[in-house]
Amino acid sequence: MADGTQLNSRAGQHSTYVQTLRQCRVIENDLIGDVCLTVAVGGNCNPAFLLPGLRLGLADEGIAVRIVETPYANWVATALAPEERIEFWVIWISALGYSVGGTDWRTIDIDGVLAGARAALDRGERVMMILPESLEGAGPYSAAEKWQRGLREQLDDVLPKEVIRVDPDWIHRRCGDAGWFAARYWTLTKSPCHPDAATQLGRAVANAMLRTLKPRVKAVAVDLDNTLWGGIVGETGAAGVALDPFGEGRPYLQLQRFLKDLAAAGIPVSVVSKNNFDDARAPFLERREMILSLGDFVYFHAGWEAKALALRRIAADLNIGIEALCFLDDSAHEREEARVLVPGLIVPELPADPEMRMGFLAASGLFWQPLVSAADRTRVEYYKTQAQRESLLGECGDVESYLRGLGMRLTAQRIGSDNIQRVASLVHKTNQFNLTNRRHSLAELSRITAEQDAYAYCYSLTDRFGDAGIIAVLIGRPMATALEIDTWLMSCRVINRGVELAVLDHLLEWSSGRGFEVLYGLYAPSEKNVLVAELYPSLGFVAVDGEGDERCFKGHGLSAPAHSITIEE
Amino acid sequence: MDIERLTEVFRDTFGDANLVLTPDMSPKNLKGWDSFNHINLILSVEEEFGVTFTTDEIQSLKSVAELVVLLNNKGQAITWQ
Repeated sequence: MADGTQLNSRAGQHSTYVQTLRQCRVIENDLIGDVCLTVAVGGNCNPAFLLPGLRLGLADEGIAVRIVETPYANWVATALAPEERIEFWVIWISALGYSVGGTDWRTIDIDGVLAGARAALDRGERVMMILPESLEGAGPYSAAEKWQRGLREQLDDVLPKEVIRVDPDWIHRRCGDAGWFAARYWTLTKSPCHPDAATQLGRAVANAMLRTLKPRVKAVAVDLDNTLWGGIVGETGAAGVALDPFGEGRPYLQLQRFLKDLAAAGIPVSVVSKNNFDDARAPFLERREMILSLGDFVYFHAGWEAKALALRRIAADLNIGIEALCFLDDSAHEREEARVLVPGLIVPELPADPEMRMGFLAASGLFWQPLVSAADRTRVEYYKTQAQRESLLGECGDVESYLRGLGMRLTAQRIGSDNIQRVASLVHKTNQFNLTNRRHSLAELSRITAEQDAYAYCYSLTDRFGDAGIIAVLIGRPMATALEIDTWLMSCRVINRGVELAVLDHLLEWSSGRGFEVLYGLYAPSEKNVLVAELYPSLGFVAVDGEGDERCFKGHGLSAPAHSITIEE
Repeated sequence: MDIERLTEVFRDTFGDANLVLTPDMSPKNLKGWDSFNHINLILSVEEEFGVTFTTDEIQSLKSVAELVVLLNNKGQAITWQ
């Protein structure tokens, strides 16, 4: 069986006909006893080169196939009076097959095609038709091109809507003319295209077949920052996120349109974001460019815990298996965390470049819906009325062991000329994990951090995914035998990985070595930093007096907190 | 280069792990060497040796000996060992 990861790694990777044929021989024995589909193939050409791709595509999801061949160019006779029960018909209506070998144009027997298709549909069998392909040498405005187009439009018009159309030009475009056209295979075997191209077409047919039987994706959960818009709303506010349809907002809006269409076709979409709830909603309320609106989502989850909780809850509430939920997130970290904590979840490897994402998702075949029923179209409304849009809680996999597996290393560096620009930038823009919101200027920072007995550190984080760079800052200023934490902030990219515990660990070790017995921590509430309102109490600090809104906490005799991070200096 | 690479292609194509090539082996005397497997064989040979045959060559090819000659002509030094 293909899990989400395998499926994703295969997207965009194409084996040749010969390789696929070889793989087919290997798997043939493995599938005995599994689900087996009976598929009749035929058409006005030789569909044999489709078969290895078709077999392998079905085998990926544990389905074996028994092929019933129909007489060359006479599938209609079999369709009218089959000798056995057929589940799927795959009929290749080739333009070459209707021409005189590609040399002259014929009118075609549409009535025959229609009769064959209707007979099969009436028996409750599924019918897929590969529509007439573009012809080699049929240049722009040529009579050949006109004939082929007319043929295709005519078929498309008259065929019942239950006939699943397969457009061979999907594959032709992907292969290019050089990969698709191969007249010698027409001459030798009556195959309308190169066997390698036919193999890809066979895989496309398999995917359409599978998606007809069972949608692969029954629901989508999507991230917000850098996925549905450019930038991080918690840092820039709703006004600052990229949503210009003629500029860098374009790919994000394209994904929004895609999700909106999915929802309209019966696939419920939910938001799962690490954000403050109000921040997450702000672009939907304030930005007119947004294509998705809050009403398009079944669940809207914004919070700071691992996304696994929300993902499991969504699948449970929608009453779908976790293997039918697809999670779209731009962050490799979030994707990996979700894969580890929610085994079976479909997690496509969204390309880092937002411009590449739509093509990637289209090619993955995950979201194909060959037949959309009226029931599909109303399903999302049903979910919405059932759903309670509240923060999601529930059982979760083992977060601790996941974090340990990341192999995180935190490097503490004294703030100095090497890093002060980055520190100033973090001090300026960090809103969520920021205890005091003191926006020190570069000059002020230089002065404070130059104080000999001040604790002035920034921290960079690496793990097995790579280097996150400088992601946290802590500045403590001495007051006799105590140290007051003037600034403590952290990038929201690394929240919920225990980084703050490692930072405190480093601070405690440093302070005890210099005779500071007491730490004072300050919390200045802002619109954005509710995330850290309870940070000090959670770390063992005790509330003491505060001035105005600002609250002050005292830490005395604290022991080093447990975390999964190696600290270096 | 000896005949082993070509033997492997035949074994793979005709699903017979013990197949041993002989010069006079042909569609007439090898079970399964029908017109469709002929194309499968040619495609596999092309992929294995990185050569291309013309339609004419494919249609007129009648035996293993002729295939070896064709491959030799395309710069593949295959010898019977």
